[in-house]
Amino acid sequence: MKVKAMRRMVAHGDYLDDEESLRAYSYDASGVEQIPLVIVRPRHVEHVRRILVHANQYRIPIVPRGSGTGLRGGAVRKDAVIMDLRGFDTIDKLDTQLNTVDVGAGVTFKALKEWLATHKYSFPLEPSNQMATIGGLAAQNVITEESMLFGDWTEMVARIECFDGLGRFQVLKGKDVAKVLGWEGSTGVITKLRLNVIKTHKRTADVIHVNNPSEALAHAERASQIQGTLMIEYLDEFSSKLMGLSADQHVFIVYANDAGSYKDPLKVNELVQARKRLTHALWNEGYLFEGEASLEEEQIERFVARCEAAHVPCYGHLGVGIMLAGLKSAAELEKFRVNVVALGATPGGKYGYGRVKKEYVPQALRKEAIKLKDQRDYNMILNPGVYV
Amino acid sequence: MKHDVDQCVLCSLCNLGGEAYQLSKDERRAPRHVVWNLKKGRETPALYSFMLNGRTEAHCPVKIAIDAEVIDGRRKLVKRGVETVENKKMVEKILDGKNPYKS
Ligand SMILES: Cc1cc2nc3c(=O)[nH]c(=O)nc-3n(C[C@H](O)[C@H](O)[C@H](O)COP(=O)(O)OP(=O)(O)OC[C@H]3O[C@@H](n4cnc5c(N)ncnc54)[C@H](O)[C@@H]3O)c2cc1C
Ligand code: SF4
Repeated sequence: MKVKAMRRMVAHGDYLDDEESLRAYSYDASGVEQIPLVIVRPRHVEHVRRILVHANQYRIPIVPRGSGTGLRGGAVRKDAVIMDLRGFDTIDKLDTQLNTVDVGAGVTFKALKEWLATHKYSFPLEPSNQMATIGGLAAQNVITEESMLFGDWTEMVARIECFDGLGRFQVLKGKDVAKVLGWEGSTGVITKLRLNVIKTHKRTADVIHVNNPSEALAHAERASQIQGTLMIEYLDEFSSKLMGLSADQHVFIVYANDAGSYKDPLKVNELVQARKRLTHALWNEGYLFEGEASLEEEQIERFVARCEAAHVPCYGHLGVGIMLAGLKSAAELEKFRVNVVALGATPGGKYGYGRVKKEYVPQALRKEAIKLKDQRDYNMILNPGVYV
Repeated sequence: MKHDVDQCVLCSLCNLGGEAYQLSKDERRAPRHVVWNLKKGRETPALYSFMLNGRTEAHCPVKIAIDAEVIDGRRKLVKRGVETVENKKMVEKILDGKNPYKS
């Protein structure tokens, strides 16, 4: 009854409680499955406000959701109302003086990319899943290959419009955006964002054959000294082959300037896209599970050696200290996580923590989450079970 | 080589090829959801509104034979007696030796 009252709070047809809808929102790309209470699809900030105020009154958990492409089960929860934010789907106001664009949280990365391209602009943090929404990517504070030069979403988002857990509308700017970005929908519901965009720029690349990870690290060190280095990627033999290179270890470096030896924009783009599709190519080879590890530089060599010994394909972002591995089963993934912990590293960092990796949330982050929840969502309405 | 629905990793890239889904944003019509249902052994009537134009399949990084799986699912639905009214009428006309397209 208390949940049913939400039907009046959204437009006709945007309150879904039929069996097939509940099923369709019961999972995301993590494979976690939990049947929610109902789905609401707000299209206006007033819809969001009403729902959150009501949810507070009756302590009904609310889970914000974009395209459900998250890999950590953050957009899934039983006994919760799923708030599908894809109705906030407008792109407007490209400010060519300040180089910003205002975009609704429900716009997909693909739609934004195509829209910006027609204006000769781009948003540099490009995820490999272009179906993800801008709200979802920001809520996850997604790290991409380009994070090396451009940082994370907290650096590329100038301003957000959002609601806290009490249903209070807020405009957060500058450093304050970090109160919501990265907290996976547990400290705020984002409805609109102002993104820093860049004029489409020249990119060049180097593909360097190396004999071992320590040579790769030496190249990475040199490249990181060059101003404008956009990404530094390590590729083992197998990953290199899948990217269309020779079956040797490589370092793949992309520059936002003229520094690389590959200068043909089409060739550079082809290489970048092949790198972005590497996970997909691994899936096609039966490596359906991706392991991730946040590593210090001195741990990388040991990580690669262990992968090699276990015949596990590995690759990753040397530029930001995140390495990835292709695995064939859930059991292999579990073993991988244990190994990463044994190395003294964190088996996470790229795709958030969500419900799947909650146990790996570092203590300091958990403490910060509790502080933010106290300020912004003391009734624990927003995505409970994620972080706290 | 094409794979079967068991290999689906739920990435949702096939949704890029689902025109009806793109327009409606209705998750029940999402190609990913159709595949998810098939993976669970749940052939739902939604299979009948799935467009067999190869576009969803073209986006699938795992190379799942989505169209073939949908056709197979439809076959199972028909065997269970779950079919559209139009389909039923057409079959009846064929069995009666009549033109299935003439109303
Ligand atoms: C093939 C594939 C490739 C991927 N590549 C990358 C990659 O390169 N880099 C990367 O980091 N991730 C990647 N991911 C993971 C995923 O795409 C990202 O995590 C993305 O941020 C999820 O966006 P979404 O719109 O699907 O959000 P959802 O999955 O719907 O939600 C993700 C989280 O964000 C919250 N959320 C969603 N929208 C909002 C909102 N408007 N306000 C507040 N909270 C919200 C949800 O509560 C949830 O906790 C990939 C996934 C797949 C399947
Ligand atoms: S693209 Fe392929 S693997 Fe991804 S959800 Fe669709 S069917 Fe599954």
